Amino acid sequence: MIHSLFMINSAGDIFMEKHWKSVISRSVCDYFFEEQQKANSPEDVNPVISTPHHYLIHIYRENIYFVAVCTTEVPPLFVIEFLHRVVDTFTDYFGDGGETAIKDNYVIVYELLEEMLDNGFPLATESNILKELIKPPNILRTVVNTVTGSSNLADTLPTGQLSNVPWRRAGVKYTNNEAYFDVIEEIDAIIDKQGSTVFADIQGVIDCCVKLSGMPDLTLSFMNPRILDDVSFHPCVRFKRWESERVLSFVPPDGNFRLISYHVGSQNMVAIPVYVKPNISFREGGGRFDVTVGPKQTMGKLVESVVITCAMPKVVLNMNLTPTQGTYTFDPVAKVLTWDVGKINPQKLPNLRGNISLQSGSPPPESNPAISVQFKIQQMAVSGLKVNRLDMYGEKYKPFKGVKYLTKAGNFQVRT
Amino acid sequence: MPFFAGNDTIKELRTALSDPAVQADKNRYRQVLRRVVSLMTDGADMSPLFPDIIKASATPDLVQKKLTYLYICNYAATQQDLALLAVNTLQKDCLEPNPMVRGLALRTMCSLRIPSLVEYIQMPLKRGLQDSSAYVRRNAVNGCAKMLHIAPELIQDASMIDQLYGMIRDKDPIVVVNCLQALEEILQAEGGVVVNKNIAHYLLNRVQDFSEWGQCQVLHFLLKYKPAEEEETFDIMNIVDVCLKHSNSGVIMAALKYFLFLTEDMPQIQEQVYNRAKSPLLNIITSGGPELSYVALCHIQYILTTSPGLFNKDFKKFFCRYNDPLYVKTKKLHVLTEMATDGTESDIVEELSMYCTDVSTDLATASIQAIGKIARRLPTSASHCVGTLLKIHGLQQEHITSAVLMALKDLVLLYPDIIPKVTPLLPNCVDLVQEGPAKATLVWLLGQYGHTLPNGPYILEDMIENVASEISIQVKLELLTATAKMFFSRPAECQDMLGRLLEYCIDEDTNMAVRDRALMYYRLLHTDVQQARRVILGAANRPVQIQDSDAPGQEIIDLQDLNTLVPIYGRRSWDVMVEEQRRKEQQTKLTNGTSNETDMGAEGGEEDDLEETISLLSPSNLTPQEFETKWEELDCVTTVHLDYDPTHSPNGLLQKLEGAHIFTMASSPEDAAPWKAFLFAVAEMKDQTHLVLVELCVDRTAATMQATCKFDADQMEAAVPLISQFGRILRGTITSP
Repeated sequence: MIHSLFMINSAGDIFMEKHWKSVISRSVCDYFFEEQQKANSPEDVNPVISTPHHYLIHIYRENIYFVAVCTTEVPPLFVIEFLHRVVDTFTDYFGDGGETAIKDNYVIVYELLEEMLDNGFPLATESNILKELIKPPNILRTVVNTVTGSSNLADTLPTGQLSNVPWRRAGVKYTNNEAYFDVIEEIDAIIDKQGSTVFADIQGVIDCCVKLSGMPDLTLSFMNPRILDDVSFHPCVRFKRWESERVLSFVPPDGNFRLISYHVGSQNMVAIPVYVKPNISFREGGGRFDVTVGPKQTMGKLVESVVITCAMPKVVLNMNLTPTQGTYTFDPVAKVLTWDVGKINPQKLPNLRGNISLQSGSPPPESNPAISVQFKIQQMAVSGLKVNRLDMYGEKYKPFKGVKYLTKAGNFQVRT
Repeated sequence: MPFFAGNDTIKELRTALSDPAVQADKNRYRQVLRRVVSLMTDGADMSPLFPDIIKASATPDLVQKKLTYLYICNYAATQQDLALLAVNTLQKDCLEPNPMVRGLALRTMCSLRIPSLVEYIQMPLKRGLQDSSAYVRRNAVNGCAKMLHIAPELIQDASMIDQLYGMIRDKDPIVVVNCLQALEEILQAEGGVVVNKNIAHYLLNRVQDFSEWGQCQVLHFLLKYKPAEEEETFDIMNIVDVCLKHSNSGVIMAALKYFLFLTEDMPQIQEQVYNRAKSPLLNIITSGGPELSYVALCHIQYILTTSPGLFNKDFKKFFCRYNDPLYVKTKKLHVLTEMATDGTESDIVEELSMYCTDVSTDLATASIQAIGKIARRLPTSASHCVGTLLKIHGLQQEHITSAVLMALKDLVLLYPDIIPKVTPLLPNCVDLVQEGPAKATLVWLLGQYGHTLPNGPYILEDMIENVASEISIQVKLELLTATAKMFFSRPAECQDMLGRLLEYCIDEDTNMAVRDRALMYYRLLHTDVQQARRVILGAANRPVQIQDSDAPGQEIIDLQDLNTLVPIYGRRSWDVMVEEQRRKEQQTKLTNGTSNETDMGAEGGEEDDLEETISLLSPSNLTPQEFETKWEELDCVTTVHLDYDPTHSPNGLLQKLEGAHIFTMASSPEDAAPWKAFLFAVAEMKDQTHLVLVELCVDRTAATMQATCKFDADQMEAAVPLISQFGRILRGTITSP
């Protein structure tokens, strides 16, 4: 299915290649480069390229193109998902999946690729199992390794592969048994000039960090499970019980994993927690910029880490602004204005205003730039989702449990 | 970039590897090996170190082993003799108590891809299939698939295949999936692995055990089994339902395809399936990465062709975000255009008009075209769309104005009532629009409708003044026609300028088309003005039909194509691509095929002398006249009767023959009946060349064809092997798939 993998950096160097079947010459990447030339920006390269003998499917992450070469007809989503999983694994192992990290750990990268795929088909991709096969590097371990002469490789067979539950290894032991659940919701929205919502929806996930000994069987129930109607689960969740009782019953993988991801769509009204009042106008040679942000429906919670970015039109030369709080920067090359607002104080709304100077002689831009907003609200799930209780069966000890909520902006744009 | 490590580096590494002090210190030794592997991955040629590395592979240290295996796999193919040495160690490793080592050794051995080593691999491979460790079994099963290409006789053995079929019941889910995959490859000639009711039910019951990738593959294999009863179908759907809720989009798509396959004959249920798959699909678009969302959009566009209304309520999810990559935006535009209905049209057009001011001119142009397309498709929306286009036009940007003009040009033909709204805009465009096609459109609009403008002729006059500097031929041609048209409605103002234009075009322009059209107009006007009017203006208000090349409904959706690359490329371009690839492969295969033919003839030697084999050479020059005279002359004739496969086109046949060095002299048109072709080839036998002429005659109704071959040979006896062998090649080529 996946014949070979090439990793290409933004300078166009193929800095790593791996072949699972016969070796395919690097020249196949020329087709990719050709396509890359046509694109205006690195993200714009079409992800599926056909060549006379192969199909190139790539993803662009961490400023690297991961190009998979396939010779036969393939399910494209499968390949793309797999590539993402490869990068996720690198990030998991090395802290980031960037070029330097990969180059520094090329031997581990090869080992990982070898274990993840054989003869073109995925083998082991669960981070639990991979970590049993190949130990991740870390600074401490490097030190320990040099002192004790032990290695990054497990000397024993991974036990997890033989347990009945494919995602959990047998014989897990912890002194402190704990289970943490993070309910994280992102709001994707497009707000128009008048402040009304063009489109809004909520992407939610529950990420878990479960460190429990033995084979615990957990049940997580919600106060209002009805909100979750469009859900995708980790394979460990028993789907039948969810269908009948609306509780999540599962034997968790060990460590960090994503239990469910869900989606609250346009049929439910989405409460938009912040508003932005933009007032941008251009005239010959210059313009005015005036933006105010304020909280809307936050259930009394503080809106934090607010950052406002605005990609100004190319003709903007500079901006001279004064913020009532926070700091702003304007990158005159990329023409991007970034205003780091911080917390919003509802009594004194943050405001940024001032003048725009345009290149002399060029006509004022015909449209106003869109503003994108970042924010975080702790201890609130904007959809209203609430965890009711967590029960554990199958083990005797009492675990420590915790639930955290976080709402943040995903793709949140305001048109001006 | 690959580079060549100097001899010094290799020497240095070699000394290090053989230095007893380094060998004694595990860590230092690993460091050296690591350097070798790192240089190797950078593309440096490390093959001279092969013997040293093989020595290093005999070690109890697992890290060292892994590194050496990595090296061996990389260079075994180029160092086949030395690889034999490595096999010894590998064989021993296959008997290690540690299953990790056994598995690794087996995997490495099967990845060597050296045919001469097959006999050493056979035993460990068979042992591996029965190993107690799942890790080893996985590698053994994959090993079978890898060995297929170098030792087919070993793998395609009945007992081996039986064993693999038995292993589908393995308790390790990954072994099961690998097994299915291996069988699929091994049994490709017989149509792949057989999935009967038992296997299908067994797989379905375990579907939850498989990893996400396993699920994708299993769902694909399940397509081979169609449940007989409706009840069974519903049971299966209940089991697979969970896959639609998976977080991996690959699984979702595979499950969707499986569902649609199951409900193929139940249209109402199929509709429910679409509805159920709707929100997972939308999720991929909104929450997946751009690449996933692109592929999902392609699929949605594909699905929309059969169930157009499916996503109508959710059209807002397809609105572009400003940070979407261009390819996603363009795809979203296409989907939005196709989704527009009377209810949603105004919102969608409003949204599209937002994109017109995008920094990317490509997107801006595409969005204007999209508005035009919606207006063409939905007559009720036309006035709103035109209104929007006119508003956008007010932005006074070159690329926008150009695109608007092109969109309006199609619309004025469909909806003549908008003409009075469009014409007043034209004078403003003149300075803005500079590029060829858009300018040509503008000139055409001026010619067609400009006579109502008070200053219409003078706009054209300005252009005529500058015609010498105009590069685009299209614009010049349009300008000629437009001026001529204008002349008939406002002769007094136009006569002079038309004269000047004609003069320039006839005397000075270098382009033939421009000159010819100018001359034609000149002569027409010269002979009879009334006739000229009839010719140039034509019958007014002909009904117009505009066909979009990519209009929906033209693509026929095929279920089999879901979750493949077809939705991304579109059916037709995909077919072209596949055909192209097949042809290329066939050509290489055929050239090999013909030599095989002759080899077989030589070996079998049933009726021919052993050494009398022929091969067909590249073409010599043969003119039709020569062909004709030769055809008359030659009297050594044989006739071959063959079946004709009506699915193949005669031209495809000729291409196939050409691949086998049988060339076409002449052929009748594709659809002629009976279809005939004259072919020739140059055959070499016993260092002598013979010309072979063939007349191929296809009778479509009887699905037969007849090839009359004439051979250029002195004696009939000598020609016998030639005739029989040529006949075999011809037969083989024509009947090959």
